[in-house]
Amino acid sequence: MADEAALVSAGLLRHLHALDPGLTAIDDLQAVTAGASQEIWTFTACRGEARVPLVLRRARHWSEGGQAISAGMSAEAALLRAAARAELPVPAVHSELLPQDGLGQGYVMGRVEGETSGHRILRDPALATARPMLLGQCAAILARLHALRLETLPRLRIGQAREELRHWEQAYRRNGIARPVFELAVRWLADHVPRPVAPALVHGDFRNGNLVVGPDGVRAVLDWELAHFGDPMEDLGWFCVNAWRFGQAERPAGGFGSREALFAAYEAAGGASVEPERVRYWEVLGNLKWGVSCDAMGLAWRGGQDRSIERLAVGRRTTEVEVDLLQLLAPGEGTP
Amino acid sequence: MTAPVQAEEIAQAVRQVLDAAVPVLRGKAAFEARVASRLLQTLERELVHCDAARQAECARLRAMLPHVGGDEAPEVLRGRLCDAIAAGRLGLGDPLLVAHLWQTALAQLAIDSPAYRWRASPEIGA
Repeated sequence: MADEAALVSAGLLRHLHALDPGLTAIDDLQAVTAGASQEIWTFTACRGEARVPLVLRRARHWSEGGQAISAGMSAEAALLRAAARAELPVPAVHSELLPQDGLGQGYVMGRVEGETSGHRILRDPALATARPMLLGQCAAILARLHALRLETLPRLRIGQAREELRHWEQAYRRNGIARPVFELAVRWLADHVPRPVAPALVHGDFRNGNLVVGPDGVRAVLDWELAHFGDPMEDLGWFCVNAWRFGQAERPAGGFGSREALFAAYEAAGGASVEPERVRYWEVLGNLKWGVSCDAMGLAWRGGQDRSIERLAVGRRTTEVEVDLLQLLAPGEGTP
Repeated sequence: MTAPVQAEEIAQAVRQVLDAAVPVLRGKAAFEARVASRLLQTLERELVHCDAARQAECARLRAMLPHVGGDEAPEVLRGRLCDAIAAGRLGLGDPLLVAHLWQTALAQLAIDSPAYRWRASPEIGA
């Protein structure tokens, strides 16, 4: 909406000008495809001749369940700052929104140039030099992320295997769409809940598709909205969900390589000893999460919370997840 | 004798208009037109395949579930199957259930995402 863009532009000018009186204008404001619970806008801040590319992230909530598991905007900003101090590749937080800015909750961060499309990261000839490095780099980033001391971080919610299963089973039932494959997955998960572990930072959405990649490799890890304290194996499992292999089904780890190679690289980078059965639990739960989210997005279109056609289209991708779950839980039955 | 204009023909004609419009659109409008075009392809496949798939699914469900009426809608039958799985009456150990779930999911995948790669394929050129 042109009106909304004008409001955001004015709010950003107000916000940034208060911090930097030399700021003269906001240029090229563009809405990037909005997620369920946050909006992302890219823009350029102009100070005379100087042009600084920036990103605005701010909250919008149409999903009750989503709100319950989001870290919250100020926790997200604090987490990015802590990650930057620990020398993890993340965008630099520029400033946090204040109530008087009239933009709601959120923050402004630096824009990291590079490719974010998971599909293109796996196929673009310009990234051929990066591709062989990505598995190792992702494993090393995760190992370091999981090793961050919790007392240096903002306080996030704690979610271990049992709580996360309960949350997503409830979300499935709240959708109200009968999915026998999901029922099967819930039963399997309930029968295989791993014991709780000493909580560590979990990114919560670490996958191909949330990385900025250049010819030199991973430049930034994005989308820290779902970060929480819990079982680090959750991040390894989510990374291997088939949806994030963007067609490279034979390379389970993000489309970059095998699970074994991911686990070996993770351990070599100082990560905890990987328990493949525990990662398998999180991969199955990760698929269930993504499938329940797909149904929720289709329902958001139906309910009017989000009338974009992309939202409706994602509602028909749940079928992909049903097949992925069957392949994990009852493989070999799909041969025609 | 032939049929009057069919639903799948309408979907195809509308999709062709959208596809022709995409090159003259920019930014968000172009992106959304492409999403719309793909959804129309899904609709075309659904119009052709849905009835047979649903009939086959319902026949399998009636074979697995006791005391079902002959005319209950697929969603109702699926709900009954969900109840049976949640209660532990049917599960991964039941070959009939597993075969049914695979057949149902693959039939729906052929409508929703026929190009989706869900397994490493041994075929040449995959």
